[in-house]
Amino acid sequence: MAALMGIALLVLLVQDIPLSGYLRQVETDRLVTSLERDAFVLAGRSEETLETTVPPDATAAKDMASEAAALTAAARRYRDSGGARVVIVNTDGIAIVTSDDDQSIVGDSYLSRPEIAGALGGQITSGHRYSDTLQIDLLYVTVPVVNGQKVIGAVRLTFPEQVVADAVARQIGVLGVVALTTVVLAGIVGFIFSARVTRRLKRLQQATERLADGDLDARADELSGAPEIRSLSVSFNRMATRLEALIEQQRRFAADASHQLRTPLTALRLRLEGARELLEESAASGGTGNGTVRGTGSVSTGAAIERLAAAEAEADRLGSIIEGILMLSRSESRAAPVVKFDVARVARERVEHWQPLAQELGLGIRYEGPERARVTAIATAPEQIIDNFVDNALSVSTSTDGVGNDIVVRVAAAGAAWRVAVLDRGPGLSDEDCARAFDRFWRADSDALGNGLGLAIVAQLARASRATVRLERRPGGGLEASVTFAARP
Amino acid sequence: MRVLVVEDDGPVASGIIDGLSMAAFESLHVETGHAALTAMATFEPDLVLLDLGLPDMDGSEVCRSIRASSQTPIIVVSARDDEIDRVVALEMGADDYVVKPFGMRELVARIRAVSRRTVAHAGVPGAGEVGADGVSAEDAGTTERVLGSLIIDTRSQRVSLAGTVIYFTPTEFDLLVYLSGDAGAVHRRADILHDVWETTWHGTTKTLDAHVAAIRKKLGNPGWIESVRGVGFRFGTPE
Repeated sequence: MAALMGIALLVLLVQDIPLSGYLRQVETDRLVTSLERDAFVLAGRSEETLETTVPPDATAAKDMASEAAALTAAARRYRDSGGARVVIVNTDGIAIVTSDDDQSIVGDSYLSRPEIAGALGGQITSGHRYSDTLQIDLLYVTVPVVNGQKVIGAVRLTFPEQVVADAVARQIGVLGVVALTTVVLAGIVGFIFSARVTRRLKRLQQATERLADGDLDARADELSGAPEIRSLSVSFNRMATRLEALIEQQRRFAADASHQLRTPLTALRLRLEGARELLEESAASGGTGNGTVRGTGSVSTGAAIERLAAAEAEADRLGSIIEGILMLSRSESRAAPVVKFDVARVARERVEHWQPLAQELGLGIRYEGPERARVTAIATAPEQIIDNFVDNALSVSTSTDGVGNDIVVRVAAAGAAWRVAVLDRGPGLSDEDCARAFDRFWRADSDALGNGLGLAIVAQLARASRATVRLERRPGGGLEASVTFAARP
Repeated sequence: MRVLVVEDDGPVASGIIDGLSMAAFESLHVETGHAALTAMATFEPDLVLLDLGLPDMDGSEVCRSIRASSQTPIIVVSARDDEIDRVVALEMGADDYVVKPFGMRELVARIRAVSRRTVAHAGVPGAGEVGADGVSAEDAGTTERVLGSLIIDTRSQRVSLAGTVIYFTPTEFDLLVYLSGDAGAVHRRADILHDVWETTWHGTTKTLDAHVAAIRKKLGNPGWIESVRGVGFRFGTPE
């Protein structure tokens, strides 16, 4: 809205500044023209007075005086009706009549004034001039008084420049009021309009946020609002539909591929198992065969059994990757409801769950944190995330019979949220690996048997729970894996 | 014992048939639902292994057709492990549901368990004799399994060691029953997870180790369950 008013103001300024210059010009021209017309009228009237500069007799002199007085009166009337100051000079440049109340300048010579000299030379002059006498800018018009072919005097009309400036200022003032009204109106209209647009945009924004949060059903209202908003909504909906289709397609592909891979994997496993069992049987019954052949045979049979067992382990790993992909594609498609958890209780339970294994490995594991920490997450997410972190911590920790290598599951408040961290004193990871560890199929060098999907699933569970996960290097060595859950409202 | 294998995937079918013959089962392989229904009359199997994804008709339809005319136990073998798939198959009359990929040991164990169960219901003697190993205690008509000083009652879900009752969580109990069911044999990790957790996805790689460690701790002697590095676990009697 402010922008709209700003634009209106800018447009008005851009238009009005040159306009005021133009107005000044027009006003000046208009004044000059009317002054010229008035000057000619006065010149016509002053012809008789100026014709006879030297009175032939007393009657004539008296007539002349009365004529001059009448002319003076006319000049004053003219001045009083809003006209200009009038000075009429004879051919010698001597002032004969003025409109001034003070008649003291009558008889003064005006020949030094360039416009008077010009007019006595037969020219019409007009322009601005600074008057040394009056110490103001003057706008003047001077016309010659002509009788036949002869210049017999001149009429000069002057206006203080200020009058022009005032007239222009008045007009500009009117323009300003109009401009101001326009700006205020633009503001009001803009406010009403933008409020409506903003409301529609807010709704569209809400739909966008819902989509971004993974609600693939989020759609915008295509039927109301300004045409631009409606068309934006249509575009948004097209995008959302396409996105939904693509995600569904990708998920379905992952699921189908996993299912399809299960069948040949079954055949592979059965074959490997069958081969191994055949060899095991022949090794077991080898005692009845030829002694020398059995000797070499049993060594190679044993090695073959070993290799087949290794191949079976790899088939298992392949199976675990397939299951991981299926798990991921499922958790992506399902919008599981967010429920309430006491994450402190879950963390304590998990520590208890892992205690015996940690003990077997010669490691300690303990819980640090409050009695209760209420958060929201999707079902089983806190448990699975903590298990994954502890699993990784157990894999990298080494027993030194000291207390320093204990694994700590720590729950602590993080602002309005609760942060669950699993801390170990293993070799840790580089910052680069910490950032990449949540990527699919990323595997630590030490994790030769993993499927590379554990942390990717953790990240997915966290996303679905509106939680954030992080890996950080611990000062003093080791890793801190953490998940921050939104506190239960 | 005669097993009818209904499976359209050749390699999987021959793998199964191979394994079945090694376990001394007689078997017949058919690739379509119609062939399976015909074979029910001609081959007269004691058990049917049924793949759900058949080319000519839906597996659950085959299941229902077989069930309409006979009580022959059916184990569904499927690549789909959604709960809904299991429920539909069991509703259609299947006796068990095995998800691919599976190992032969697991499949054979399930075949025996299912035929034992149905034989017990039907009162037909002799069918249980094929699976003599590892299930002897239950074959004797009792639900108790005695392994040295350890007594596991599978019906009341009670475990006692040298006369003292030990409490296990349901998962721990299932794991104990599974491992002790074939004492002395090495159980592969993948098989254990597949069979005991009944889900193909096991959150972390160490979930199994954690439960084994818990059982060992409760039994007070790690010798009961021996780790076989890189393969899995073996149940033993430490005494």
